[in-house]
Amino acid sequence: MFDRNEAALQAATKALEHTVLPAVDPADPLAVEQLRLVIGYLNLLQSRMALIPDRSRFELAHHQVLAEALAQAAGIEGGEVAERFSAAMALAATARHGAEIGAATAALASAVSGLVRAVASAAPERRWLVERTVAEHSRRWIDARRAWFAPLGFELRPTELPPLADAFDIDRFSR
Amino acid sequence: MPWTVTESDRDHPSVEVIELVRRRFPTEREVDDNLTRKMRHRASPAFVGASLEAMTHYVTALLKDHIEGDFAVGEQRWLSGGASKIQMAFVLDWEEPVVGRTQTRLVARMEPAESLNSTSRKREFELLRAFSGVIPVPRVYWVDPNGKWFPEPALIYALASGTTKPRAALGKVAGIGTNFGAALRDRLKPQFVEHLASIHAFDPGRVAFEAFDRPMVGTTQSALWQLNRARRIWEEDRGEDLPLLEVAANWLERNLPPLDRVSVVHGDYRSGNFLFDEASARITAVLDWERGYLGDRHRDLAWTTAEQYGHWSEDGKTFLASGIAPVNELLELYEAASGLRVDPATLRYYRLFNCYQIVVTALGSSHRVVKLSKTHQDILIAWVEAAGYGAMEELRDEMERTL
Repeated sequence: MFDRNEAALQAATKALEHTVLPAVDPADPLAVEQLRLVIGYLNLLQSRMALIPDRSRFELAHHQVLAEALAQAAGIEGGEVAERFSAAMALAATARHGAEIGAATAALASAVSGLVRAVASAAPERRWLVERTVAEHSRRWIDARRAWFAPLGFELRPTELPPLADAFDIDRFSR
Repeated sequence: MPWTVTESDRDHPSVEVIELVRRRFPTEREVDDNLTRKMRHRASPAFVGASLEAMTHYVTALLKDHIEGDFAVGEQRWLSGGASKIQMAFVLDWEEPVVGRTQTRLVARMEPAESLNSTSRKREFELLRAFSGVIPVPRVYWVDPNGKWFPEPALIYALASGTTKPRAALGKVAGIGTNFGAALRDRLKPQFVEHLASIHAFDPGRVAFEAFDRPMVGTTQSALWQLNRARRIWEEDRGEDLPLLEVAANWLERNLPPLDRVSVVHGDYRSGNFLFDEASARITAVLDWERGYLGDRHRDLAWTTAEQYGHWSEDGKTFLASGIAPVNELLELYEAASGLRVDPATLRYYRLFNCYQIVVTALGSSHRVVKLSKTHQDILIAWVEAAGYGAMEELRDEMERTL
């Protein structure tokens, strides 16, 4: 599909930067600061727009892989933890588009979080397995979010981050 | 369980939900009051902006009840720079006791409908009073702790002179990662360290500190209060579940450090939260005491030296904490200036706790505040999300090494 949204966002930031900003009273620091922040965020969106579907699919795939790694532990925990795990994994297996992917991702994240809370008082070996698995699996997810927001300038080590295209490559989960 | 409180509950919390979360995460009374107030106001309408006229009206109402004789409020203007409070500078023409007729430059500092951090104006008032004459702080005049004259809690204090960042570094959000430049940071360094040392060496028994609870030395009470505060906020504010944050919460609860000494903790001591005169390189005021509490000094030390608030030196090899000094040098200077020991294990605990706190604020509170349009600068708060992931990776990396 031919999409003009990126070009429209570019036009919006151009208007704000070259027409609106010079007209804002420099004695109103709040207005000047917020206009610059609006321009910055629109620039970020423009540069990321084409990747939004990739990001959604990546987030779902990440949580599916994590949930599969923890499915046995959830089963041992039993009760509502196990039920939520099964339901979320079933939802994820059939999610195909926008809102479905978002809902399935949220359900998986919630189910895994519930398992982590549940094992807080479990035997050390059981707790260790769950916590360690979450910590190990979270690296790629954090890297992807850091790469997404890197243009906003908060990153101390931006060169260590993967290119966005690699960050959202879900085929890497099976390698 | 993470699913006890729902997304809908967070937008429209019932009395039962508010109580459920309060009971699950007990913390200091003043913190509890502020967070409970936040949740009771959660479902109120979006914040559509304060006008200078309205702020002037609130200021005038408060002044009428606090000063005798005629007075005039003029030269009102907004201040930018902070990430949470609404700040209006103005000039008060009045008959000041002892001084006589004078014009005083003041700042009215008010909570928006909901802030990135729901903190206490009462605490800020008491701390500014306590440290007047100890280190440079703005002179504080009046407080409206419960929103009697203002629609939200507010404070009025003197407008301190100075800047938070050199002219060359303008444009950073809330002073995060400010680069002072080599010459300036060398001149700021001793003052920056000495003021922090003075805060921690201050005897809190000298002041009533009515808005504060005093944790017991030799127990983990202080660390638990702080952890419960942060966990409660995550429960109240988050928009998504983050399993790694639950792993971190488990670890933090298992490893609470005992308190060796009760100190005043500033709570946000870093670049961006002090003013200095660029020509003389003199620190003119330590600001933003709103997160202050009585507890473990290591919390401040870990915050001041956190990655999020520093940057790499010009050669790209040395990390400068708060843009002031390498971490080890800063801590050595601190120990010498304060006479207080830095315990590496406690410092590490609070470094991880601070990462947890930063994620809670950047990914939890910022989301809720922006979603519900609660402040006068939602766009700035939206940017804050980006500041959370570095802290999250630090947490993850430590969890992977430790577990």
